[in-house]
Amino acid sequence: MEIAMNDPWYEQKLQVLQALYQVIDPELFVNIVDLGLVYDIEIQAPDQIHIRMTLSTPHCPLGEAIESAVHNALQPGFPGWQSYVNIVWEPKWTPDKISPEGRHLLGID
Amino acid sequence: MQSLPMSRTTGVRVVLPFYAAGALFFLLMSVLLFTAAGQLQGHYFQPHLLAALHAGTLGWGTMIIFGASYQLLPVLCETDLFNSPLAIVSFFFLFTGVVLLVGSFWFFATGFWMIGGASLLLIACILFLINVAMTGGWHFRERIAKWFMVAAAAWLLFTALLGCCMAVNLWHPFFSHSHLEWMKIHAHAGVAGWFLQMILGVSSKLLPMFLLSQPGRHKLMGWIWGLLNGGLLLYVLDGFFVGPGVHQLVYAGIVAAAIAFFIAFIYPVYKNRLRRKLDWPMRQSMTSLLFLLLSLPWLLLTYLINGYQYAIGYMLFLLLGWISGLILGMTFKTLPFIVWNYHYKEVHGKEKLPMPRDLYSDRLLKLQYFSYLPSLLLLSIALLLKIDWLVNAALGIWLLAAICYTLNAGKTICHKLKWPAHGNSNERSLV
Repeated sequence: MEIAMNDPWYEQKLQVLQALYQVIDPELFVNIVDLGLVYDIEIQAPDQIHIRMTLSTPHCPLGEAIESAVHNALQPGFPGWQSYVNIVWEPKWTPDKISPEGRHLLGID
Repeated sequence: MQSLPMSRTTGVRVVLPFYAAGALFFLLMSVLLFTAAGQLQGHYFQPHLLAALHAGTLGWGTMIIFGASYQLLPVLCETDLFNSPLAIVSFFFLFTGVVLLVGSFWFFATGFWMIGGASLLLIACILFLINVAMTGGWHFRERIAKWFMVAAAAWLLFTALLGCCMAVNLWHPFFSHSHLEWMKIHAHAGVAGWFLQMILGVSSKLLPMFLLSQPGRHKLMGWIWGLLNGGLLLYVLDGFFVGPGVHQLVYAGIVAAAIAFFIAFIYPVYKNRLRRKLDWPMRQSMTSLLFLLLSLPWLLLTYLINGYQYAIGYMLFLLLGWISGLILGMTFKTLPFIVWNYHYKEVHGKEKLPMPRDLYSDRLLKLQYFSYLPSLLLLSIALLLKIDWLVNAALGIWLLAAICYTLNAGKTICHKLKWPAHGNSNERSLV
């Protein structure tokens, strides 16, 4: 997940991304960003954050917990803002989407 | 980008009673086996042995599989469970049925209690089949795991129906064949049709998920489904119209081919897994597959050499080594997540919380694993060499594994919510 430096919301998106690093997948013990679950962050003025993301398994029983963790993680840095989580199944998540840091945390390679 | 609605997790209060009752029946089975250890060298048709086997297969194996299925069906079928109240009703029928059946076998009270218990179990199986069949779509390739589950539930229903007839036959004999021949069909329909089919079907989806691997070749799963059900159907028809004989090993061969295909399916999944280091629950589950393979030589011995201990060895390797071994591991890949989800779903991400793996004791799990393995090894030696005291010792060690499991499952179920971690903690528990 990359954020373009010329993005008008660069700073806010970076702050959102930092917050999402705090959301841990309870099964894999790795944050959702390094797992490659977060596909897109969109800021809509004046106070809306839209996260487009997926889950490692469609209809994972822990999906609701991860979704609520995203909202909870964003709250302290963005008081008064509305956060929306859009869970999508396309493109399908595969282990190839795990970042090098995520692979390291999982003990891969 | 179009998003699809997420299915809702099946309620914790629907699933948890199955796990709690399953753990207690597992302990009961282990105590009954330990008590009946002296009978393991004799014929398998003995009241105490039958009571222990039914406590294990129904109270433990089937109970946990019912609960886990209600939790996993929405994941496998990508939709909500068809009917949660029906699942709760099935628990009461299953639980009461097992209590009556195990009690009536132990005291060999044929008639009302035995037939009553068997009838309640039959109703539980019908309710389970309805819930499985009505959850999700029917596309064979996309929903192959569901096809395994539906066929497994249908075989369970057949097994229960035959069991009901056998309970009536013990009270008022009406079978044209020997009761023991019916019992063999009953046992194999249960083991291969229900347990094997359910475990292979669900594993084909769950193992790639737990091991972080690519999904296997699903075309193979279609073949496995066909071989397994075909082989078993032929065996049952042969049992009805022809009768026992060494030729029945052909059907065992067809089922063994299904197992071989499954190994071919799962091997690349295992080899290409990203999670190289297996945690203890996975290690326990993978070890159990070894006992499924090791049960086949025991089956061969029952046909080739006279001696009831081989049939008992075959049954125990399947029940203790494979089915129990798998559940002993898989419980801790499912139960802690169910409990954790209930307690922490809303507060996850707010601050540091215990993770699902913190809900059970790793030490108890290791002790359970290291009791499970030697007890089965000793049991094999004891049965092959007919050493009575060694059977007692092996089942004593097995009892230790059962105690570890029950304590650990109890610890997980009774977990109290601890949040926030600092200050006034908001405590609540499921029990």
